[in-house]
Amino acid sequence: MSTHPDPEQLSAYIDGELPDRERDDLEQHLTGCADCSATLRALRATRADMRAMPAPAPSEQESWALRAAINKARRRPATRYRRWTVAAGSVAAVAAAVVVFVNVGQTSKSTFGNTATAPQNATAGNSPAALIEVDPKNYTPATALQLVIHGPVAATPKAGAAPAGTTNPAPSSIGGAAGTGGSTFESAVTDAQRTSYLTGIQGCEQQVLPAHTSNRPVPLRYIVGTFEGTPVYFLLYSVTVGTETKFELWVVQRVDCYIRYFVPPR
Amino acid sequence: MNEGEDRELVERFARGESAAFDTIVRRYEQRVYAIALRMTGNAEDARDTMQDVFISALRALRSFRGDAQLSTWIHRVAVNASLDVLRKRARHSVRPLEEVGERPSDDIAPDDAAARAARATEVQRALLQVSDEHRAVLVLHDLQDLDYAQTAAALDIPVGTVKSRLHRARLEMARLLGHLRETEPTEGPEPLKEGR
Repeated sequence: MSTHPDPEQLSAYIDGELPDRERDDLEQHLTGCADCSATLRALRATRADMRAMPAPAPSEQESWALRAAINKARRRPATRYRRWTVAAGSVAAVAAAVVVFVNVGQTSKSTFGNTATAPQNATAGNSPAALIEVDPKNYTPATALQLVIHGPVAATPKAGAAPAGTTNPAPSSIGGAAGTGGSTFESAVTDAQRTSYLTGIQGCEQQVLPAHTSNRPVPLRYIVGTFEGTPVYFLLYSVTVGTETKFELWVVQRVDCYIRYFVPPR
Repeated sequence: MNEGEDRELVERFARGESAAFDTIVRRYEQRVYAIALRMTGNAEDARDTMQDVFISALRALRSFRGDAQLSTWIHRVAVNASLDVLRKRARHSVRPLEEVGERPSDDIAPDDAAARAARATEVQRALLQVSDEHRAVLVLHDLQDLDYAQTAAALDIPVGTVKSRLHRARLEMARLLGHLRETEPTEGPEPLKEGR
């Protein structure tokens, strides 16, 4: 039997990192050395175990948290957004915050359905800068889930986007029925801002939603707001499944159109 | 990892195009998370590490040297940030693995998903028992599939050191995982890696 090789050569051998001549010498040695062969088998088995481990990926929530942290670190967009908020608030002098608590935990999809406990007529005319807070208790105990909505940017939905017979009061709770406008907040938004935001949100919608959905109707509402401190768009849909109509909320980060469905945990 | 595309992304970001950074995040997010999770063994630590890495990148990449590879830099920062988290955690008791599973019973088929998950848990446990420097080479080489030179560059150590650490780390892992092998048949020959 030839001299034992440098032990590290055994690892280099299974990694294909040995030069040809050293590899040939080692293979010749292995034919007559039970100890080195046993070590080689153990090394191979260990490497196989390592490689059989699943490749972990961050959860959607972790990805979202990452982007929120990055956006917070970027600072500049947040500063611009705060300035815009202050300007809007100063114009809407009588803006009364409307707080809507939405229970998102009872079904597999979040809704603005019957669980909403919005104050009746909460946004009727005199609460243009609606503040909507969503109860996070069924979302995650660690995440303060707040939707601070600074009023809808009116979109004109296509005919049939809202199912007939929908009696859910939620849309009116966040600023009136789609397409009706009427929010004094909107008067505080310049045409340029409205065009800018609508262009942005629809751009994100076209960019990311087709990958997640199919046959999705036009949103009832395009909404500008923040989510976990990150500037976002909200897209509110009315979706009918069987006889049940639900309001789904999608959240799209404004910076890179990173999207998540507003969904309760399992 | 495409070096040319990475360089272009860094240059675009340095010129003020923030969307380029979003692309970098998308490109490396999973890899950084995987390194952090395997290094720390804890999902919460992995999430924190991932955020640390990309916020560091956000601040550092504007002045990133053109002669350095982005992937090398990110791997290095990911390992170092993971070790920082581990050092902070060392002041407290070690957190248990979140997905610790039961050892599979003998009547479970080897390809059963639950058995595989349990085995992976055993491997992760063993991984956490080897030294930090051994774990780093195992994670980068055996899990992230970097070659010796890439691993050396990422850890800023000579290739020879990678070689010796990797060998010793595998021997240690083999010892820690010896109980998994007691009933297994002897393996056949394994083809050499190609393209390295």
